Amino acid sequence: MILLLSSSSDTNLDFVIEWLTFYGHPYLRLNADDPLHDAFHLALNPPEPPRLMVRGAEVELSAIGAVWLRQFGNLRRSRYWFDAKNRVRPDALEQISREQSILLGGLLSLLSGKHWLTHPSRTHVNKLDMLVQAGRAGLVVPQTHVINRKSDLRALIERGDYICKSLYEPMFLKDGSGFYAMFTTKVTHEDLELLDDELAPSLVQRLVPKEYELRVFYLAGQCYSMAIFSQQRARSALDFRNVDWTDPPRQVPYELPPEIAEAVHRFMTGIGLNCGSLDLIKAQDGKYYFLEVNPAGQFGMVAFPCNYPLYEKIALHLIEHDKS
Amino acid sequence: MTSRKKPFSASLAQADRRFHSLNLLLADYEPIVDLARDEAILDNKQPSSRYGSRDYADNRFYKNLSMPLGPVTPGEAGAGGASEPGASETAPAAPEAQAAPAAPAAPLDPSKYFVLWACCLAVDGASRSLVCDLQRSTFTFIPNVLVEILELCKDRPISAVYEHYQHQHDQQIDEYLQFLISKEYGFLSASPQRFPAMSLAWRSPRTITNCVIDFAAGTEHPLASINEQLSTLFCQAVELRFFYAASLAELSGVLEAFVDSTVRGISVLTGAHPTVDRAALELLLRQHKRVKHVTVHSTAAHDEIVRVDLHTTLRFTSEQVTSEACCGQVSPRYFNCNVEAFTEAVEHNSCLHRKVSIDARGAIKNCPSMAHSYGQIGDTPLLQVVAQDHFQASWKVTKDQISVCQDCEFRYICHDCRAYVADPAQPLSKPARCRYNPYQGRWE
Repeated sequence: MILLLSSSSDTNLDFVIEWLTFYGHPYLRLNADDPLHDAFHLALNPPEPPRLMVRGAEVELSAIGAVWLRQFGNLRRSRYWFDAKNRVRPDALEQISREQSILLGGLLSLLSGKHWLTHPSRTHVNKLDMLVQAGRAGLVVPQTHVINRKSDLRALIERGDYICKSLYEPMFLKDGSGFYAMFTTKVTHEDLELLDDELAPSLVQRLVPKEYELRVFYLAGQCYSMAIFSQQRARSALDFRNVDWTDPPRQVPYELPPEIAEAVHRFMTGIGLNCGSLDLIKAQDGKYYFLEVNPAGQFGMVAFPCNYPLYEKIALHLIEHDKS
Repeated sequence: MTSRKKPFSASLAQADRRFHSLNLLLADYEPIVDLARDEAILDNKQPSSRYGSRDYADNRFYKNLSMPLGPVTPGEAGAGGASEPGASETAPAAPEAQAAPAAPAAPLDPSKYFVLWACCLAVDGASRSLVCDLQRSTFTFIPNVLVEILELCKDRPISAVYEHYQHQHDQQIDEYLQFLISKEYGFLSASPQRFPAMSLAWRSPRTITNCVIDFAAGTEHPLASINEQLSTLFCQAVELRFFYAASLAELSGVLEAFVDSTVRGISVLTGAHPTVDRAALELLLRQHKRVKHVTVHSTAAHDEIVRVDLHTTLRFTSEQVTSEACCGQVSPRYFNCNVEAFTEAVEHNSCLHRKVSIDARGAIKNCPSMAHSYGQIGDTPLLQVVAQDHFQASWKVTKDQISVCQDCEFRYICHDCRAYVADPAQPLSKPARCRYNPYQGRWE
């Protein structure tokens, strides 16, 4: 049986579930927020094997061969959080959230030895480490600096164009009837006026003039790539997330040169990821630059515009490894 | 690079800035332009236990159901480039080249390849051709000779295309290609092998993707069972057609059956009833997020289209709909110019494929307008009907097999009709209610 671990807001699972049904393969979907709604009972009583009951039914842990792990968490986006946030004290809610993450971690450890599509130890990656690993695998990466002095920043931008982005995943700071959007932005001399002499450690990278942008969904050795001509629109030129969806730039299937596809494969194998989405740039200097990898890749954004059967591929991958 | 309008740092005291990192300090303020729109996106949710989704909803993936009513109003055709009957009917010789007072385009580099974006597909017709832009849901007419040129462009640089025509038409070819570039239908590349064609394969794990359910006064369908059966088949879209004036309570009762469902979009067609006014319908739509279109027919001279939110439209029309005979219209306003619809039409019937219907008398059919019944919904399981070869036979009738349609440039974006055909003696004749003549390139 295939175990699908995710959250109840993740519609990507729905499409894979359709394919698993199509191929007649048994599965169980367990959302991270299910234990906050549905009947759930985990019994640990060594030396007996652990027992798991979900919605009143025993889950045969030994019958599970393959596990798809994707956004197993995300409590803040769950129905539970939405309902509880006005009824539970913030500090108590924080505590429940931490307890919940211990439960999820405990569940994952019960499943060691299964075939994982994204191993639990690989669901979070470090942006800086990924640049180093990508470089080792033979991918070109933009010149990168972490600085905390304005003088160092000034010295850099006097030599060329630089962008800044978040060391962690970017977020949106809500404020009144709007938000501060942490997109990738170019650092200008004017921006320096906004800064104190010191700042918290910050990531800056040499701006790579793009010919186009690439999103690569990697699954078990295969690359499914899409080119995004984000340069067609000023808004999205530096950060595709800032796209105007009423007039999107072109997104089309792309065939990576074999040596780049091989480097991607080396990189993903090296960091222990069998699945993920990579952001690359095809630069005006002709080189392919690696920017980031996202282990819980947004492959829907590649699958639909390019008509790639990625949901079926994932289902077939899980079925194949569930049997073996 | 323009300066930031209102960076986060500006909201901080100078002395506090050093505690922040650069990307935070430079984060720019964006007002939420349309709160109602954003809320509609967030709030577009109903559960589906079939998928194990608690907050399940999606507006992207439901089949665009036909709305069988009303005159075509300009700008509403769904496809931006849609030619309305009677309007701009001639294929431009040098398409729009004169219309746009464009800056003189830089000459094309003949050593490069012209690549049509993979989402833009040329379809040839008897008298003119189309470029279908499946990403933007629009199309543009092109002369047939340009389809031939595009075919040559696939495997040779522009210089070799010139050569193919013995350099007799270099300038004309340039004009054509510049036109396509200006419309963002294609681009020049030195490495066309990096830009493969998009696969036209249509694959779906769903046994049924769409369903039509009809109601006449007194119809009593077993709706809970229908929803359960459709969910087992992973049906995505349902159209509910009431050929009489159903009350709000009746509509609400019917929709209640679909609260937990795999269905992603419901379209309702119903007669004008005193309880079914705009305010009441808007409330109903808030309760039933799956409902994307409501059309109220037979109104007393009330013709209006209301966009309720991003996903949802209400339509009032004085046109009367009294039976399934209303359907089968062919018009640009029903054209579906997207990847899913286009690829499906290449190898399947663009109306009947993966469709099941339940007519007002409870008969299970391919389409309510067709004669053959496969049994009654009360006693025959849908699963058993849709698995039959005979039931699926009409799924495989493509436009390429239908006379006249096979010569039409609209054949992969138009929906077919097998219920009302031009010559009932010829099952593969064109839809009776299509007034387009592809040999003249004219709506008649």
